Amino acid sequence: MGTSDDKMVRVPKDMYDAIGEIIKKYPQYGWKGPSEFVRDAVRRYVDELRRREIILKRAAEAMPGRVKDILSRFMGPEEASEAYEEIKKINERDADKFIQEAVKVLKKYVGEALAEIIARRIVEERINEGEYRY
Amino acid sequence: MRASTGIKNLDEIVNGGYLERSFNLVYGAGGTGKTLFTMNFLLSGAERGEDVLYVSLEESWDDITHKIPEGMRQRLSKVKSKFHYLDFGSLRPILGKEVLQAEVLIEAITSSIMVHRVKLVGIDGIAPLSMFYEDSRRVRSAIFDLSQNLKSYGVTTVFTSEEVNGLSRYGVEEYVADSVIRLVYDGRVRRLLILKMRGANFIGGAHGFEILNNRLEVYPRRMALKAHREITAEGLDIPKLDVMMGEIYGGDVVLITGPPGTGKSIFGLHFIKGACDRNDRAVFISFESDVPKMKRKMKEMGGNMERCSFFYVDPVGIDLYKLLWKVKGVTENTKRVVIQGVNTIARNPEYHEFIHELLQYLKRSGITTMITYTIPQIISNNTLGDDSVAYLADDIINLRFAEINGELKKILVIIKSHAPTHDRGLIEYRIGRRGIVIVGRIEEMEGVMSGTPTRQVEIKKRVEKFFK
Repeated sequence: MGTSDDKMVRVPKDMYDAIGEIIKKYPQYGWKGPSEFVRDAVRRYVDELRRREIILKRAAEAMPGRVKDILSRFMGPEEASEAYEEIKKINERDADKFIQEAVKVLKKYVGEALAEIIARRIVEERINEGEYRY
Repeated sequence: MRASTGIKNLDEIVNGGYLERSFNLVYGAGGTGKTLFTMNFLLSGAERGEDVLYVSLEESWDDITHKIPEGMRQRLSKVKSKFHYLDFGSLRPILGKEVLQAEVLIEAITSSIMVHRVKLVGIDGIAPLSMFYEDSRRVRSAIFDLSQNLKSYGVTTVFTSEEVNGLSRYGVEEYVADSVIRLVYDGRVRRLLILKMRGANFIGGAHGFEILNNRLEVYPRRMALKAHREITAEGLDIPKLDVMMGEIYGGDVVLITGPPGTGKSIFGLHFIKGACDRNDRAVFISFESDVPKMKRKMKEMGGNMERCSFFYVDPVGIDLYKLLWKVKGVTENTKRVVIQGVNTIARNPEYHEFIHELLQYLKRSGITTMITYTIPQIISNNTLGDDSVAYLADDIINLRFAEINGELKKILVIIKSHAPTHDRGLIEYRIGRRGIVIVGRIEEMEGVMSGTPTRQVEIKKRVEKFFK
């Protein structure tokens, strides 16, 4: 049920009709009407964004150490340490941007394609860690 | 300009090495030495002060550095700052097969080339490329892209591939490569075949190849021929026989054939003793006798041991091309050489080429050579044993036994000599404590060559008796 603090959000008619059809098609989810469907969808999307933010934050935190570890095997400890120091120096609070900067550093050592594969792998590892509380 | 292959003898037969900015294939079955060839190529470059890059697609760097011989590991530790590597072998389990796509490889390799100013690159084992590119046409295209990119960065590259049915794995590497070297190992000897070498007149065929503790060696099947030396007079240094023989010249090949027990080795000892007594260097190479025995005999004959060297070569499982170059090494500044018992290696499939090359080299170097060849028949043989040697021999002496007066006597025949006036008789000799003693010509005997001669007088009497 709504309250007096609730705000209105417009959706196009086509979308509204599509929502109605989904509610009818999946009664097992228990949506009582389009408003409840939209509230549920928005809640889930915000959760997803927060989860992504946490994963990126953890990936950014792990980035210097994992890069050092991977490069150490790939091209030896000296270059791995150099890359580690450069990534540690990146002054960026936003996790997404931090990772982008780290990829730029990596690019110098291993080329763009491999730098992106390494960064993606580090993010995937964080996803596979499971449990994201916020 | 050319980039050294890292193996001196190989450089010499390919006009100094690889073309600079070239992409060069080395292929062979497992265990033929492809990884070591690549490592040695890069180590030599690093030792010359160049930055080099080793790219492993298959094995991990840890495995490779543990597997290489200790001597090579030590070389590596001395040039560590110049020797860079990219270990895709250990990256693949962490990052997946995606790392094997051409774009990733090219970018990673060229980044390292730029950062370190690399001049030489070794890419070891391209087989894993098929993990990413299941279609062999795409593998070929990837190899082609790789070669073009690396050439554009000005580096000289060696890459290795597995052998499948006599060809490299994908059958295209040969076409992309500027040079192709195939390595072969049959469990006994190693061979290196140069199949293609752009910009060089190379010596084809199978060359000897050896993996040593700290380096690789190639023993080319052909030797660079020296200019003929000035002709000098030589001899066998056996009293009386030299007169019977006539002229022998420096660089001559003297073939001594005969059954066991006729004293071929003693002729050889006389031959080198003569040189050593005049303070020249001489070498005795034996496939038959053990060295201490030969030295003892030489001492008994009163030879100057300081100038003589003795080498025993085990004829079983021998690599003849390696021996060819060993002989070259030990005969530097030598006047005379004896090679005893070449018949022991005559069944080796590479024997004919070996003996031809060796004797040509010794001739051109002005080294007078005596070859001894054992013929298995004790009596009444009609061969010189081996046409591989006979056609190169300038002088031939045949030793044999003959039954005379109930005794097995030793006879020699000079079959061939430079001197048109050489003694054509049958010469009896014996072996004493101090070597060969020439007794003299066998007169009034017929059928000596058959081994069972009869006296000419006896025959005359029988004929007269018959007509009476």
